[in-house]
Amino acid sequence: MIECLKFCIADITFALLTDDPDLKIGVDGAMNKFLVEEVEPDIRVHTKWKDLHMQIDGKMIFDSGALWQIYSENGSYLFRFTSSALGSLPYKVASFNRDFTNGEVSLNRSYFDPDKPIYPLEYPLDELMINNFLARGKGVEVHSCGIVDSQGFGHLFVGQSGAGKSTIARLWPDESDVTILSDDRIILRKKENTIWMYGTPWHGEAGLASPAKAPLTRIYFLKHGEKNELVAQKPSDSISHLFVCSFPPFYSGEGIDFTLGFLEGVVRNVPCYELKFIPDKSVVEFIQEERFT
Amino acid sequence: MSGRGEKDAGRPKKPYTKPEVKQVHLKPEEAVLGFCKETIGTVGAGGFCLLTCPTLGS
Repeated sequence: MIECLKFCIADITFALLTDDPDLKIGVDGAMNKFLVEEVEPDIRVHTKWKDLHMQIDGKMIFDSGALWQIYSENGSYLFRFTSSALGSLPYKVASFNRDFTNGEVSLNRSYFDPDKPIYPLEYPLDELMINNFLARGKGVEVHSCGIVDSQGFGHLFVGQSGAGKSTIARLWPDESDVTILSDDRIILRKKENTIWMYGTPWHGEAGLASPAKAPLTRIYFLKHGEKNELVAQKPSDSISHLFVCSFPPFYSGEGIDFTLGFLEGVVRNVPCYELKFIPDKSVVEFIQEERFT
Repeated sequence: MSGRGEKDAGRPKKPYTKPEVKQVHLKPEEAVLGFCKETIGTVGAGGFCLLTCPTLGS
C-alpha cells in the first residue's frame, strides 16, 4: 500500500509517497495549511529507509557550509545532509532529476524514531526542492513579508534578518479582511502578465503563514527610520535589493540567469520603494494612505 | 525614412550621468538555505533540527 501526502505551495503541487510499511510520514505546524486532496502533482517524491554511506558517487558542485552539499550524479542532482552533531554519516540523502519533477529521499534509520511520523522533506529540503523547481522558469522566492490589505492589494516588505519583516506583519490590523501571507518567505510568480505573491509555510518569528495569494501591488525595501517615508527606487537598485533577498541556486548559471531576468520583469511592472519606517501602527496608516497617491 | 537624429530633434538632451558601481550586501547565511533561522516553527515535524542545529541555545 502506498501512503501519500500532497501539498500545494505557490500553485506548485508535490506528492510525498512511501510504500514502506515501517515508514510513517506526517507533517505538523504551518505545513498542515498547505495539504491538499486529490490533485495531479508537479513533483513526486518517494521516500524510504536506507543504510547510507559516507561516500557519494558523483561530483560535488556546491557546499552550503551548513547541513547540505549537492552533487551531480548521472544526470541527477543529489543532496546530502550531514551534521557534525550526528557524526560523519548522512542522516538523509535526496536525489532529483534535472527538472526537479521526480525525487527520492532516503532516510538513515538510525537517526530517526520509527515510531513517530516523519516529514522527510523537513527544512531545508522542502524549500530547496521548491526553489530549484522555481528556478526552472517558474518564479522566485523572496525573503520578505507579504500582506494583502482589505482592498485585496498585495504589499511585499523585503529585507534580510532584522530589517523588520515580522515587526511589520504584527502591526497590521488583526481583521478578517487582512491576510498575512507570511512574515518571512514569499514566492513570486507571473501569471498572464500579472505578478502574484504567494504565502509559504516557512514563516518567521511571528509564526504567520497562509496558502493564499494576491496580485503584487507594491514592493517596499525595509529600513529603520525616524519617520515614515517612501523613496522611489531605480529598477537597477530594486533588482539588486531583491536578488540579495532571494534564494537562487548559486550552482546553476541558468538558474541565476532566470532569477535575474524574472526580477527585472517584476520591477518593471511593480512600483518599488525604500520604506523608512517607525515600528508602530503609524506605518500601516502611512502605507494605506500612500497607496492612493 | 526618419533616422534617430530626426526623431530626437527638439528634445533636450539628458545630462550625462557617469555609470557607477554600487555594492549590495549579500549575506551567505541567509541566501543559502539551511542555516538556523532561530525560529522553532520553521524546523518541521520531528524537530529534527533541534538535534542538528549548531546554534541551539545561543
